Amino acid sequence: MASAPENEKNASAPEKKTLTLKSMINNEEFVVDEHVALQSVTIKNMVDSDCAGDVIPVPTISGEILALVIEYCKNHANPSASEDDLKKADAGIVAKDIYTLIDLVLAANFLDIKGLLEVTSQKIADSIKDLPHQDVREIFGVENDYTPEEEAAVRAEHDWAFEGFP
Amino acid sequence: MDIERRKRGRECDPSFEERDDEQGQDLTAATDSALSFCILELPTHLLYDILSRLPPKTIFFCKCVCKTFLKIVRDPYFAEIHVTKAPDVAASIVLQDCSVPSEFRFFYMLDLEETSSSSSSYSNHHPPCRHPRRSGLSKSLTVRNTKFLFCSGKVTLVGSCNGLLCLRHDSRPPALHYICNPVLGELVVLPPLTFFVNYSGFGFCPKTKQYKVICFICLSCIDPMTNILSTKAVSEICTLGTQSWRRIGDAPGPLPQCSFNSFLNGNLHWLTDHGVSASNLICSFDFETEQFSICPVTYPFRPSLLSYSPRKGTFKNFKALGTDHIQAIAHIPSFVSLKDMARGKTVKLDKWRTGEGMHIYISS
Repeated sequence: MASAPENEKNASAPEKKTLTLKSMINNEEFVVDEHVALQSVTIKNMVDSDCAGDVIPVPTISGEILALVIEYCKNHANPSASEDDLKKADAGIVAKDIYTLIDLVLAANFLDIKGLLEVTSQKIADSIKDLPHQDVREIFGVENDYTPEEEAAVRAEHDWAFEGFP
Repeated sequence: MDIERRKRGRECDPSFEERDDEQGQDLTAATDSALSFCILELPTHLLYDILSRLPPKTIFFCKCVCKTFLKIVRDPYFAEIHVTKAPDVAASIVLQDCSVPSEFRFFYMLDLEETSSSSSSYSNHHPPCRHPRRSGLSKSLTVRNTKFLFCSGKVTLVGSCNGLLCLRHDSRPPALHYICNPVLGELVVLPPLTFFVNYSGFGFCPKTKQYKVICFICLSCIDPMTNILSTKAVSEICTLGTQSWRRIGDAPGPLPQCSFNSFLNGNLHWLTDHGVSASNLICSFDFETEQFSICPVTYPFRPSLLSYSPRKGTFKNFKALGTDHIQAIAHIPSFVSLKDMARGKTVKLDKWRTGEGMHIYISS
């Protein structure tokens, strides 16, 4: 009986602690090792301040996106992964269409995962690299709010850049 | 139905992978599924971050996309975060061919491709003006400077820092220093100096966010006691945005014919022999404390052109081969606007105009 507190210690220490993340969009649940989930500063803050229950609800992030985020965290929690492996794995995660990338960048921003935010933002930027503004509008779904005169004036500021573009 | 389609699009749309090969198809795919999606819904700081990762030309295109993008690109904060990412995106080289008469000494700015490293150096035996295009240097941003070539203009390339370029014009006693951002087409003239300048250096103090120009005047004097002739370098400094030069004391003068534009991490570096020692020393000048310090060179080396990426902490090596008469410095284009520095009315802003001033055009 005297060893009861010790037992408790043994029970919690060696066993891997897990957290359950639940997407509030489609109620999908993911069980992840704590050290994997703690790469998210948001989750870490919740755990540190004892705000995290058995199930951590993740609002505004779908299960599909949450799965990608967890894949990223798992890769980066693996101490034996080489830098090259991680780069390849990251490239695989962000090899998605623009809609997924936008959801992913929002998720990385919400969960505060710096590395994922970095690679996703870069991938979004790369999708419009060297493209003229008409193409950028289409890809980014942006409505042109310039009058033709205003647009011409902005364009004239750096007209050399537009040489060879319509 | 629409939602179904968009979902499917997400799962199997490989379009953003193969954009380069099938751009046309891609755009249609993007339009088809562009349902209730707009990048402007992203939090503003993410938009700043995404746009700041683009090369200068695409950023200009983005200004034309919509008013929100224009506002972002014109924000000084955008320039600030762009500077930290710029070395990973684009690097240029600024060249001056000194073998021709001074009135033809144009400046050339060559964009090196993003993926380029030391391999895509400008390896040409001819002066660059005769071959502004080389393979590997696609869509160069070429800068031809005619503005500074008034009188018997002699313009020296002083240095490049955070996308700002410093030039010195010293054909007449008041040596003039110019600071310009070639990408934005902005130019500032520093207060004139009344004496002949031997060397100038250009740098930035990250702490105070001030740009400074330091110049060296080499003086010879004869000690009245010993009758021995000695030379010393007197230095003066000017902070961009102020109206005067300040004397900061004697400095270890640079070796003749030595590069004087190695600015890194708030310090300017040059080779010196300190007037006495037979071996070379590296002298550095801290733009924050305005102090000189000296460290010995442990091995002989040849000066070469490097650019430094603060984010990765890595160096890029450039080689400018050709005649000895070509001056070259590495330059990272930026959106740092001189207007932001011109608080008050202390700096003069000139806008370059095509036709009479600086010509900025793409040679492709």
